Amino acid sequence: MTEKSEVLQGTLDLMILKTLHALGPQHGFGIARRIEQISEQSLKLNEGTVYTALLRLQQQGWIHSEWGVSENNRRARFYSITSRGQKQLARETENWETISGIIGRVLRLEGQK
Amino acid sequence: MMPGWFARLLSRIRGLFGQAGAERELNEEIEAHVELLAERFVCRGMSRTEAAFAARRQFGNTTLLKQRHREARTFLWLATVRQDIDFAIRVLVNRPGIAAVSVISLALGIGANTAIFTLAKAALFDALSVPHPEQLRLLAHAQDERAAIRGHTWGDFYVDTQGRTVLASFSWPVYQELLHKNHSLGELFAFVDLTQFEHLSATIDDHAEVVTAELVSGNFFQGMGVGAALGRPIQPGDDAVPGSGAVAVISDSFWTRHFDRSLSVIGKTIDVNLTPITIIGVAPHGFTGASSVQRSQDLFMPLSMQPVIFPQKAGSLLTDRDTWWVQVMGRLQPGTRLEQARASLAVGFDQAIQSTISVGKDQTIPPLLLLPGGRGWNYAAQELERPMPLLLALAGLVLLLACVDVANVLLAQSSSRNREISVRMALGAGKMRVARQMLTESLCLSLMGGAGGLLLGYLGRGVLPRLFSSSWGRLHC
Repeated sequence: MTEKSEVLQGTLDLMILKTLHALGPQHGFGIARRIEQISEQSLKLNEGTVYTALLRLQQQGWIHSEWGVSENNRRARFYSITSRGQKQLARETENWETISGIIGRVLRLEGQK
Repeated sequence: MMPGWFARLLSRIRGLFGQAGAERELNEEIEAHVELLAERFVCRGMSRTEAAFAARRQFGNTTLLKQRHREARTFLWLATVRQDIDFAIRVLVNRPGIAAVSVISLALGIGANTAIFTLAKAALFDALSVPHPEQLRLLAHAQDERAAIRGHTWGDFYVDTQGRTVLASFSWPVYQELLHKNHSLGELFAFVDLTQFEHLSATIDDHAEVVTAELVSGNFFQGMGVGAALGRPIQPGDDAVPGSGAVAVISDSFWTRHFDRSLSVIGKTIDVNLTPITIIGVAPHGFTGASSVQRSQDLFMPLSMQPVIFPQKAGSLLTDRDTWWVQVMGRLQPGTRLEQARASLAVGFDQAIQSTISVGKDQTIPPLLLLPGGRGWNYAAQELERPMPLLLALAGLVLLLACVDVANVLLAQSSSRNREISVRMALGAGKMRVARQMLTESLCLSLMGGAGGLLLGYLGRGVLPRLFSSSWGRLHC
């Protein structure tokens, strides 16, 4: 695996939505840690891009943000998924599964030449 | 549910306000994030400085991130357009020479074009402001060397493509004959623009002034389909007896200039060439008479007043068979074919000529023509029709030259601005941003040039027709 694999734009959005769905309200740092942990360190990303994705999602109305206090008593912005975000997540998950299923089948075909 | 694009648009519009707040919040988020990252690295045993570097590395380019956010948050171009304009104005003020040259060439180019195209439109396309001007037909005849008409022919003429002289003047007796013989054109009415012969002086409340006038037949207003805005128009009863009918309809602009649009103008008496004339009506706004589309006559008076207002050595033109001086118009009724109307009227014209003047053996009676009359006796248009396209092309060329001139000046300037642009690029300005800045400057210049051009065009619009008309007026005295 290369040091920093390219993350598809839509994929990062999906990962963030899923994280917020699973863990409830999180700040940007928390989201970055979660993605790092899930991907078992194999996905290294410029953590700044998380914020771009967050802004994008917020503009779509899929997430919502609020200022609060973090675990270490710092002011932090907490993001949470909205009901529209939930719907989008369901749609995107389904999409992803369909596509990855197709890609998977295509890749397996190789052996049957 | 709101569509996605609408939600994005709304949030961007919201982003227009509170730019500074959003910027501060993002900074705070970034700082907190980087610090938390650094703390984690310290826990793993890095030194503070090492940890800070590592955290920055992991976070990525913060400047770029902020810029991305600014772009995504709102319409960045809106926020920076002001900056661009401010800067452009500073640049122009710093180089007043270049700005002045560009603005003046543009203004002259645009101004000349506006004026000339306005003139062209007026001369070639504007119609008289009467109902259905396209129905109006001007009677004319085309003479060659053998034409029977040898008397005095007054008025403007032009030479057509077959080398014939097209003249739209008729003698009064011929007009009277035509009037009786006409069955194909509705009401034939006559008029004559006195400005081509002489200027009249009018005394209004002890104040003398030169006025323009058109003498019209009693059925003129009826034939044109125009009433009076105030009072009554000239009617057939007014020009029944030669020398009688000392009345006038004044134009809207004359009414405004001399009577302040007062309703008491009706019945007022003014002296025209020392003859007392009673004002009976005011013509509708925009009505210019039949001879010209561009400028209105001040007064309309009955043709019966010719011997009094406009006396000639030979006496009354109303009995003179050898002077061809009045213009005649009629309306082609809907459903009548032009050639049919012309042929039937031509018969009457032949008879009228034969009964009023003697036609020699080797002389021919000139053919009668029905010219389009919707633009008046548009001698100007006939004269201008050929040179006008050339004039317009020339004007276009002048504008093109002005543009090339401005482009040259800007090009010369841009090569001397290489340094400035390099510095800006080095400081991180994107190519698009620099290009936009240049565009904004050009836009400022062209806006100023355009405004100047509009002003010049507006002034020239009034000046050009006057230059033309007065020279024509004098030419045909």
